[in-house]
Amino acid sequence: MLNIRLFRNEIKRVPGIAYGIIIVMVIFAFTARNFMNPVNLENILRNAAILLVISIGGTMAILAGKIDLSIGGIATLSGMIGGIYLKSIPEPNAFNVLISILISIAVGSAVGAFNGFMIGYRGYDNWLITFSTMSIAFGLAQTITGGNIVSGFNRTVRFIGSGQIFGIRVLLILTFIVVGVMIFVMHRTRFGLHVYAVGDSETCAKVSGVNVKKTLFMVYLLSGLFAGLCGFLLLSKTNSVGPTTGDGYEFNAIAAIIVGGTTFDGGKGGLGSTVFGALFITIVKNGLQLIGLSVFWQQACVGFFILGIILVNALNEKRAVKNAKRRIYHD
Amino acid sequence: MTKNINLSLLKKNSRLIVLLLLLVFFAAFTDTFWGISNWTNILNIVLDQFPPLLLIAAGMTMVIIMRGIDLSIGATVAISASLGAIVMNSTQNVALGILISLLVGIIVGVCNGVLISVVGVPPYIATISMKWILTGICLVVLNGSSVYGFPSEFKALLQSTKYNCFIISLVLIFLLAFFMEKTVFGRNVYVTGTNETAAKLSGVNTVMVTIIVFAIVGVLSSITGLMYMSFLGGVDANLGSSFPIRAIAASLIGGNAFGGGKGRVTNTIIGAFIMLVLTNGLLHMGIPAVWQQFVLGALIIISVVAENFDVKSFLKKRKKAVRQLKKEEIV
Amino acid sequence: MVGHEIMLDIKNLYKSFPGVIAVNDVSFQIRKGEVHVLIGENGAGKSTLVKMLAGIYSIERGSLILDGEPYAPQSVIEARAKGISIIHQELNMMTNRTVAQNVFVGREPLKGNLGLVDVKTMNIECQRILDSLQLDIRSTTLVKDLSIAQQQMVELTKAISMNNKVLIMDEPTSSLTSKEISNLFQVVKRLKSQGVSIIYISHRMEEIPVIGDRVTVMRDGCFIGTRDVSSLEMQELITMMVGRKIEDVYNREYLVPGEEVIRTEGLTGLRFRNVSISARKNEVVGIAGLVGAGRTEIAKALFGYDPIEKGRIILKGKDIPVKKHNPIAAIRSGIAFLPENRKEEGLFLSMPIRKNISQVVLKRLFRNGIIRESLEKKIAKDAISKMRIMTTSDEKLVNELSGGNQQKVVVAKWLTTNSDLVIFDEPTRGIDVGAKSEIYGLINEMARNGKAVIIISSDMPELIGLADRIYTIKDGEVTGLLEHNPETGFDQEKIMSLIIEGGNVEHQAV
Repeated sequence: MLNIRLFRNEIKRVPGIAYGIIIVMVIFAFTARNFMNPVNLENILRNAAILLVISIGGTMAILAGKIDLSIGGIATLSGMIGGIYLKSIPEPNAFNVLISILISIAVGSAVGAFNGFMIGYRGYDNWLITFSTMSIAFGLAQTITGGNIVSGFNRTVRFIGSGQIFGIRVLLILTFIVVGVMIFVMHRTRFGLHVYAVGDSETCAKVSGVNVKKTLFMVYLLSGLFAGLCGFLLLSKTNSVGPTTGDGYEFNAIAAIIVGGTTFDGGKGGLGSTVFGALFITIVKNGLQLIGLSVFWQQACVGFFILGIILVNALNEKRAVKNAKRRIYHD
Repeated sequence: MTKNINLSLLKKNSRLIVLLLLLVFFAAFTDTFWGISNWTNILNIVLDQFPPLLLIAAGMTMVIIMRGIDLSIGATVAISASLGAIVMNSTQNVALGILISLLVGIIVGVCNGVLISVVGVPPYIATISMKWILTGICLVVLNGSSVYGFPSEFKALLQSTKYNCFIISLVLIFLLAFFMEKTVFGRNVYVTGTNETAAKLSGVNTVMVTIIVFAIVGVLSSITGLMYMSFLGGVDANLGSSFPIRAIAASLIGGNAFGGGKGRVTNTIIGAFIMLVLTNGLLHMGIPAVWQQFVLGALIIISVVAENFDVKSFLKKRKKAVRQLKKEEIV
Repeated sequence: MVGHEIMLDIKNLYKSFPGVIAVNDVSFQIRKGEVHVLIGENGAGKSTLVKMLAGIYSIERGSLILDGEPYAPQSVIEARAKGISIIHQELNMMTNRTVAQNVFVGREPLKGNLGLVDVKTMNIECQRILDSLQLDIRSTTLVKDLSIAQQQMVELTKAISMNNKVLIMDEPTSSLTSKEISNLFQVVKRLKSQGVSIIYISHRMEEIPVIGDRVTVMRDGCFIGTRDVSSLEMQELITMMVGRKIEDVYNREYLVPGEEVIRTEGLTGLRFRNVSISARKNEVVGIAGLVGAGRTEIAKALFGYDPIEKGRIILKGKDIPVKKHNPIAAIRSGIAFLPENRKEEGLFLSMPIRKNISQVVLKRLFRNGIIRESLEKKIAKDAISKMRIMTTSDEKLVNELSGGNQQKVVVAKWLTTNSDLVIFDEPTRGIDVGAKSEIYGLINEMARNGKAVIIISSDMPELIGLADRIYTIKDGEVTGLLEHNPETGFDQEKIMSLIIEGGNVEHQAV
């Protein structure tokens, strides 16, 4: 069904991360109170799900050899606007919730489209543009409520984020479906394959007829779209959205993506591995929180992980290049 | 012929023109921008807000010329100020406190430089990670609160006259400009930013260049921290959270292009001025402070587009004309 | 069978770049189903010509008629759509993707209503083509797991899989073994029988009678003549190619070589093994080899840029610590290196000439670290006049110069260092004839002034014309050493055979 060889290459890292997950879980089981508590474990899954949704776009961007720093800001802004809409209705019903989701997605896609236009069509530096868009998004989120939080939603709104169907969290089901679809898209549509192509060798892709500009545009559009969706999910799960809700999410997303095994040079890795990366990062953060470390220290640890992974990658690359060259040569 | 000369004159002084326009605009549309009693407000901007911004923006300009970025600049200010403050208060030795502060700045800079040039971490990632790590350390060091109440000699040092900090910052920036434009090392920085491979093959030690540049930025951050300690009378871990974007904005507004190998430290002077006039002017127009993050992000995008604007459209028009000529010839 | 039906009619094609006319009023015809060999020296214009046919370069003047219809491709994609593809010498692959994905990138087969990619068909179809070429490659292998020769075959597969009327091959056999070459020729023959025309660019004279139907010779951008292979005399071809006696251009003054400047013993790195070469004062040493043989890597290792695993480098009598060798140390010890890709590795394109020229010697010139612009300008002016760099001022940005002038800037930059050993990697690539002879003059002068010069070049006449001695390299190993014979010069065919087939390291005076 899937291109087995490619998929296998993508999840080559997974056994490594799986070990990592197990080790970390064992450590926390002994050091953190209530870590192995079923409620906590479920919480981990739900947080991981949200991180995963926002990392979909980030993964695609990095696969294409670029990056999207604005996903945290987009999620915050989209969630806020959707939340404001819901607050304007005394008792939102399912239809209202649907509208809210669409609003969040629309806002996210709009910002994403702007990113895609500037980066894909106009060729501006993707770090600078998404950094600026991030500030603009967070900035707007600050202004539209004057710094206040939007909160206090009814059960209908909270259903997707916190509700259950037959005992399984809706959030998990939704994430499962969305990620599943996107993995399929990445492997079985021209668009997905082109994202990998552009990341692997932009010149080769261009010369072979791939519309690089359009592909990059779509990558950023989708990234914004999923960030927007994530905004709604945050609102739905935590029952509130504030100007700093999404703060640091782009950072955690990057961590999840590269822990998962996707690299910055593009063309290598994928959503499958990001799933595990997201799990790992969420577990680490959760554990650290239970131990009693502040949010800042959690982020600091994530920072250490990112640097560590890149270091390990660099060392591995050096060794791999040496071996490959030797093999190609003495063939 | 004359049209070209006029255009280039316009472009060279474009920023000065923008500054003048802004000053006029705010004078016309607000009551308080220029100050009730002769220039008090402008003086306030020039003497208090300008010096620290200038220092960090100048440092950022250096990094941008080298084709990098430093997002940890704010956190460096905080940690160097915090540690310096603690030492100063506990030993009542002002000189020692200042020394420690500068040392911390250098160490952070060296870490950044090593991560980027030796390990190969992309500059955004390296400095964002460092930001989180440093903020975490800062919180621990300060135990979550703040430090205040410094020895009077310290305040005297930096604020013996109102003009101290202003003069210090100008002196430093001119030193930096001289360093960048008239010394061998400065040339090496430009060359590393233009083409790192060619630089290496020309005998430039790009690793040392990177480390030293970041170390200088670290020192500038420390000095900025000291200025804030003196102005505010206290330090807390939140100091500097908005610095990275302010520094980038000031640098780009001043006319520095983002791609590396281009730009001048002296541009930062007018860039910082324009930025301060703009943000202050908006405040006096009744636009609340929460808008600043949005404004800064938008400013960056506008600067980048404006910088690109004339060159691209000019070339496009030329190409079109040439193509027209060719079409006529072949047929 | 090869009839006389014309597939591609090339009429008065002309293309120029700043400072050089690359293709000058070239006209000839390509017949249906023929293998049309295109030969000429480096810089003769073959590459530029075929790039115009393939849509990579725009056509400045002239016209093309493909299969009866006017043909003026605006892009590579359009050219491909009309039936002309090109296989480049340099590989351009996506290494982390499978063979099938590389072959079908941009036009992946779709199936079903949703327009999903039919991965299965893609793999099967690709395998079919691979098998028909008798290549031992699986379509699901990742490209990075293949050897360079195999990757080249994948490029070939990619081009073949499109419906071609004309297939252009640029030096397809440069990295292939003889078995692979005969495979390739089988494929070419099959394509011929399908009516595909093949434009075959090669430096390998011995291949022409085997695979070619007709040969066209180009020289200095001009069309010289087309001949039938069946009635061909090799000597006639060479004369057409060269058109002048080789000695005239190079003006080499052969001196008695002085003492040894550099010697390597058993130098081994990632792409070369057991390399032992030397260069002496007043001497020009040539390094010949095919693309990918490892010549540049050896040079970069001498300069300290590429890592060395084993061996010794003895510079002016002293051992260099090979593990710690780096460009800064190399420059300090008196080695200069002019890289192959002058734009990416040798120049700072967006900076003025003056700054490019002074960069390497900055530290030496200005001991206290402060740059005095007056001195820098003087040095630049001297260099510009000495090298006859065509520019109105030293402030001009390097990217505004022609290729020849850019290379002169690179040479000027290294001349200021007054190094004892100067290594040139492809010194005259993409340069007009005028600038070329000026650079040859400079090389002569360097040797006369007591420097040791090492030249890596794919331009055989250039190597033969300039060198005192030539080392031949194949697959990272030294296969031969030839000396200049005062009467006969060098035996080009011997050199060719050593770099293609290999051999033992023998001291050969031919």
